[in-house]
Amino acid sequence: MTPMLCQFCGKNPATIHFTEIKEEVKRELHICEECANEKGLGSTGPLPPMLFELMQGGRRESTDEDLKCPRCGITFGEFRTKGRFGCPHDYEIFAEPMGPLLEKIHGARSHTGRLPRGRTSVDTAVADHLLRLRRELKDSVRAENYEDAARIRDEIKSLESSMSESAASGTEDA
Amino acid sequence: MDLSDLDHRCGEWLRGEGTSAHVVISSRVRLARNLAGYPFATRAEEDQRGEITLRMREELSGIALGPRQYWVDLAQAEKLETRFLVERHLISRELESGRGPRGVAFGSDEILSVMINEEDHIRIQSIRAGLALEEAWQRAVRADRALEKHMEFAASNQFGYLTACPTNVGTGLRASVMLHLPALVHLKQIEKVFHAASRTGLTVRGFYGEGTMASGDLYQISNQITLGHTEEEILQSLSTMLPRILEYEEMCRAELASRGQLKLEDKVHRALAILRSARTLTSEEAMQYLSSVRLGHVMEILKDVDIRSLNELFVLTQPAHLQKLEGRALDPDERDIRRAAFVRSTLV
Repeated sequence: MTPMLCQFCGKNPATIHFTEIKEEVKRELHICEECANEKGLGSTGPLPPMLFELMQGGRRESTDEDLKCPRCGITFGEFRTKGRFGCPHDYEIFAEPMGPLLEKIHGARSHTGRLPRGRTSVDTAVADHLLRLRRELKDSVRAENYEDAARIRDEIKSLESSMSESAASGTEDA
Repeated sequence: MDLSDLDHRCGEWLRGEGTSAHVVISSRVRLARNLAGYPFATRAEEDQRGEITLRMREELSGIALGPRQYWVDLAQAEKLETRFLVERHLISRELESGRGPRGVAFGSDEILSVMINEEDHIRIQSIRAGLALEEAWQRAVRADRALEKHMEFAASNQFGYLTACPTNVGTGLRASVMLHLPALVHLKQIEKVFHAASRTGLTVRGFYGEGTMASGDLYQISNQITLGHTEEEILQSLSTMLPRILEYEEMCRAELASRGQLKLEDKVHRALAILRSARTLTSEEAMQYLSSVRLGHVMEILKDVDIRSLNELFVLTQPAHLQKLEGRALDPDERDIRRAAFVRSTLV
């Protein structure tokens, strides 16, 4: 496989990768170590959002405040005002901008304690799908699109029952 | 739900026994959990909150929370009843003042309670008498695991258990101890405890938790950090700090005695005399005199006072309790008269 080249110099293989999700748009940035160091963006450099600013010649089209969760519709700005998230998916969407906040509250950015049923990893795909369906259900009811609503309701039901089955079969820890 | 059989007595956690009961009233552990696949309670639609309440009521009926079990539908409950539950520490003020479908399930011994649709979908709480954080933790985690078998909680590898407020994310664990610190208050040393606690990632609150004033020299000390430490480490941070606070309070009690035993005895006996004779008592007065009498009891100045009754009076003399006992709403003046009568009859 050919290595991905640095988006700045276009010569060296990119070894540092950044991903940003904004308004459901995913943007990626791949750069080499040399360029990163040259621009003062090494591992101790500023936060990745600033990288994108750099790529856009110092101008940012939108700020973290406008970052919006497609599941519950809350923006990062709203979260900052209210201090409460809208749904579990927010933790994924706002992972980047909320880092400093978590650091301030907890002095840490990641969890080291137990997870449900002693699992070492959590797959949120089904839960996330449910969140999306519930959002769609809300929208179709609001639009008086009852046929769609009924279909989505059925889908939620079957997904839910598969979820509680998998919960019941989860490994028990002592 | 008929709660009238709870009127005359209190939860097991006020029995006044257990490790370090001379200072530690109780130990509490709370776990915040949310159902995967739903918006958080604060953002959920009314019908979604209804679904969650209904489902949780059913799931909780299959889990033994105590010898007998209560469920209170808080959307239907009378104001007096919800206030009563707050005074007993069975629900939070946030759940009381919330709106829409929500409820609480608890065991008749009041060790375990599970709040539904507070800020998070599920809040499991366990309270034990004296210094018993490990016991409280074990009871809470047993309920947590029992629930986990039937439902999927919102969690991620990076952030652990996901909560509506980032101050609870990770373990979702808030551990706290309720301390009676009259000597530290009297000698104006309590501020030092606050500072020392906050330096070690702990926080100090009043008798009724967040945002409440300390009353009767009762303080709750709890962990502030929930992310980046294991549950055991969080419990340990409290356990490490506690002996130092206990020693400090003991030192201040000794100091009070050495400064003037007679003065201390006078204060304690006067407090008891007022509680045994007063015809009206405000809530604040009651708390203050009860605190002095409790100090007198643990310092062995008073021999004929029952510690359980004394502890229970801190709760039973609260407004909603008096009104429930009376069976009707009382205005503040009437309450003060009823409070004095109730205290007199208890401390004969």
